[in-house]
Amino acid sequence: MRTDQLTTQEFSLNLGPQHPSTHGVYRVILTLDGEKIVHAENVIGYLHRGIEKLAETLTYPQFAPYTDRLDYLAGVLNNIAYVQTVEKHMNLVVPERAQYLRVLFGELSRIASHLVCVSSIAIDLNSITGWMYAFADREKILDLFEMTFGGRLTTNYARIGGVSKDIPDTFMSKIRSFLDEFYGRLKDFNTLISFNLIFQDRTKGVGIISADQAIDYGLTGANLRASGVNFDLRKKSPYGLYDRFDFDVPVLSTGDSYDRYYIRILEIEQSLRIIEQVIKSLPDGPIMGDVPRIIKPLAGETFHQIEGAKGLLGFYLVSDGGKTPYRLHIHSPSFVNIGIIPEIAKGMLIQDFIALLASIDFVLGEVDR
Amino acid sequence: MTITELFNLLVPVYNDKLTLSTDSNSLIITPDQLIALLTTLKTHHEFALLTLLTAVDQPDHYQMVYQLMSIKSADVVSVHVHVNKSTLKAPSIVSLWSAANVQEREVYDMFGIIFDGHPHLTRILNPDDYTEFPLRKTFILQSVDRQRLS
Repeated sequence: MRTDQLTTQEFSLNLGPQHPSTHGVYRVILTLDGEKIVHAENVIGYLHRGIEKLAETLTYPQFAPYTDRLDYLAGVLNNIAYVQTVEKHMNLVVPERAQYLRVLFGELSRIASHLVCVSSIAIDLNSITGWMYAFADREKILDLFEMTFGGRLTTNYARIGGVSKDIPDTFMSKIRSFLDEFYGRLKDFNTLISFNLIFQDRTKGVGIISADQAIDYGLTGANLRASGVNFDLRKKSPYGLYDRFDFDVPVLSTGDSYDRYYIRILEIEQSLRIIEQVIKSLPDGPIMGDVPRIIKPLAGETFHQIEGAKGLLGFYLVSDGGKTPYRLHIHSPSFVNIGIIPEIAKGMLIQDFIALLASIDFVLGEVDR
Repeated sequence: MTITELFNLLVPVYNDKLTLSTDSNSLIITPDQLIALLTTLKTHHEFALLTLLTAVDQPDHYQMVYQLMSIKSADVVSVHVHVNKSTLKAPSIVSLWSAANVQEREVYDMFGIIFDGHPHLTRILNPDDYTEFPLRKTFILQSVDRQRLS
């Protein structure tokens, strides 16, 4: 029998919500022709907790811990984005030391989040050793968090007007030994994962996102920079103290899964540069500024964005002058980033689709809110 | 370029359909001119990235909020549209940015605003058979009868 006389039939396959490669409760309905994806549809909302509605019932300081539960892999960055929004709205002055500590823990958070991306793309492509390595180092960063403010995932570190805790005496020696060891570990990641031929075969040329596509779909963060667009809010429109630190913005050009993976390794190196500078120049002083006991921002609206671990993380705050926000919208990068998956998935093989999912690096706490 | 400068540049084109918000931070445009304005901002003023799309339940209207960002300079422009609470109609901007697809679905899901020209306007975060629009101010947070849920 000739192959062109065989009849084939499309069928549907549910990937997720309970599937290890979907990083949480992300579900996608795939229509397949053999192993080829014809159509993909995102189904999200399994982790929806109504955080935006809850915000309307909570006072401004009460809401801060809820932000940890958005992108729970980089809790400190969410805290910072939220408190900076309120500070921007109220024109509050934050002491220098608190600002430095925010940069320090924000960048540690970014490294921890990127390490999860590196390790999960490794394990999704069957490299279990790669996963072990990156997770072991992330653990040490979480230890640094724990010794400073007690939390590991649910950090609740930044306060409106400052930060909650100063670093303990033993912190500097701990972070020094972590950093000294970590530079060597980065080389290990490269030899184990980045320059591994099997890994490169699985990811190079897979899931290519062009620069125009990335902008059209509103991709931000490492995913946008991997497609050749030089855009990092820390450089373009520095918030906090980022204009004081010397760092580069890595940009790659292909926009395939490999570039989206490798750019995270490069960004970890840049975050380490920032951390070294913070450690050298950390000033003394208070960690909390003058903040009114009851926070009642004037009526009006503010939108503030930071360069989060996954992309532009923004809080849109509308106040009516009361003790609780009138409206608080969270513009989460993961929610926007996964919008491109159905478009890119067309024509891919299932194995390649897993590489695409892992390299987009989304976190469902932030998608569903 | 500040919002006021941009406003002065654009107001001869849109006349009374374009106004400046009271805090001078946003442009307010009528729904019928939204696509035209956003197209101008995107093509002639380098605001290539859609960085915010959401809505606010104001007492007498729903306020759609858009923010665009320039990739070169990180300048931002914020655009508001007032949506009538009885018709609930707003134009869809999916033709300009594919990024608007999921975000307009979220606004529909939370506020019930219908976007004309959206390719697939269905609920996204809430269950498909849900009947409420939770971010409206008429929706009060309260405990649900457990018996009813089981």
